[in-house]
Amino acid sequence: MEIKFKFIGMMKALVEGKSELTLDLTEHCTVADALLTLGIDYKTTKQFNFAVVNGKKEDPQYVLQPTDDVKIFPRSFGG
Amino acid sequence: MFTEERYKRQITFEGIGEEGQKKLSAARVCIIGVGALGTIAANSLCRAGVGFLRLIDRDYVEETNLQRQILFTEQDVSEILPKSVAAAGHLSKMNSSVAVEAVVDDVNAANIEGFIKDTDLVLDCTDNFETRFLINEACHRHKIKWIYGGAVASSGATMNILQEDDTPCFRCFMPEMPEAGAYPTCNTAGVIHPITSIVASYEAAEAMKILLGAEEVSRQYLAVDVWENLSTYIEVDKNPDCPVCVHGRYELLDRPVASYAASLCGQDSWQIVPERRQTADLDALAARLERLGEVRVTKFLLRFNGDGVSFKLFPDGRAMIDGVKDETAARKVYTDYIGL
Repeated sequence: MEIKFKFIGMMKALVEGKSELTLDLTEHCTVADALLTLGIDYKTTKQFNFAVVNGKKEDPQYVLQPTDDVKIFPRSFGG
Repeated sequence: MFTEERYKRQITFEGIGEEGQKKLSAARVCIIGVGALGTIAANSLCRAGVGFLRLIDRDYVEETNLQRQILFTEQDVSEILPKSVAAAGHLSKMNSSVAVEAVVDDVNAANIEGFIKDTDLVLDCTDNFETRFLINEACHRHKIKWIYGGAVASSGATMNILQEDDTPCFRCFMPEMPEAGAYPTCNTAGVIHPITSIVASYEAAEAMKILLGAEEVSRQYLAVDVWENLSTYIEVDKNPDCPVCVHGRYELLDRPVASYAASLCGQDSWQIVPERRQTADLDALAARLERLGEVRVTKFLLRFNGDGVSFKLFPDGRAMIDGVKDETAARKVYTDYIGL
């Protein structure tokens, strides 16, 4: 299944500056699995904050569905 | 000299009205962090006539602040004024009917409850997650609503923590506290004024809605990126096993506070806070340090540059050591030059 990922703000730097990528993924693939195909381990990537799927914050272990819309957000830290 | 006439435009706005203005005038708000977000939020709430504002910040005004921290001036930099003091001074000139209290301190487990418990609402305008986690616990214990806000580079976010049974707290949203240094900061990734302005303005608007009891209060996480034309509201679920808002465990708040050191927002600076607050004799220390370098003493702090060392010491013994890479080096400077 093909799923479009949008990378917000500083997350783009992890995918060569691209804001959107379409990934060809196997069934039962999680958000974490999908990110790993791009070399992004969410547990150790300091910019990673959370994934939003279809407008809702989801755990990285969320199992992706063919029509999902995925956005990857950076941490908002400073003040 | 000035009258309620100043609020006429917002009283005309149907979301506020006469009754709403009275509520704002009676409200008490604590703003933790008086940097980019804090100055903008405080500016909005002071102009709106929120009756009492407590501004807390541990830092002093520097030149790099002027690009986005709207209440500060070049003169504040020259005078090395603490941020909360400088901000309170400017706000009081803008609206003398608002009581503005300036607190120059580092918010920690020992003092946070005293800062918040006589207020109706807390605004997070800090620059670090440890303080946010602490605010979350203290506000939950005292059932005080608070507003998270953060920004870096061109993106930012805000979310209301409403202390309701069915809405999340900050720990629901972020189960583990990121380690200091494990995330980009305004020093490492930069930040532009429009994003801090937008995030803080949303915080101020939500603050007004919360203080007025408006049903339009947001229950979602707002993410904004002004460079990427993004503005989106995100649903966040309550964690049914949240240690804070479900189980009432306050791990940070109930931790004993000893002497501690903290890295300052991505800078090569460390803050040292002694276990017992004490009154430092800044003039006596200045006399000892004068032969080693440039010393300046103000009403609020002592600044020293020389001998390869740079620091600021506050009257309560708290110090900011510049140009050091780690806590050990910072503590050595504290011991060797301040010695309290």
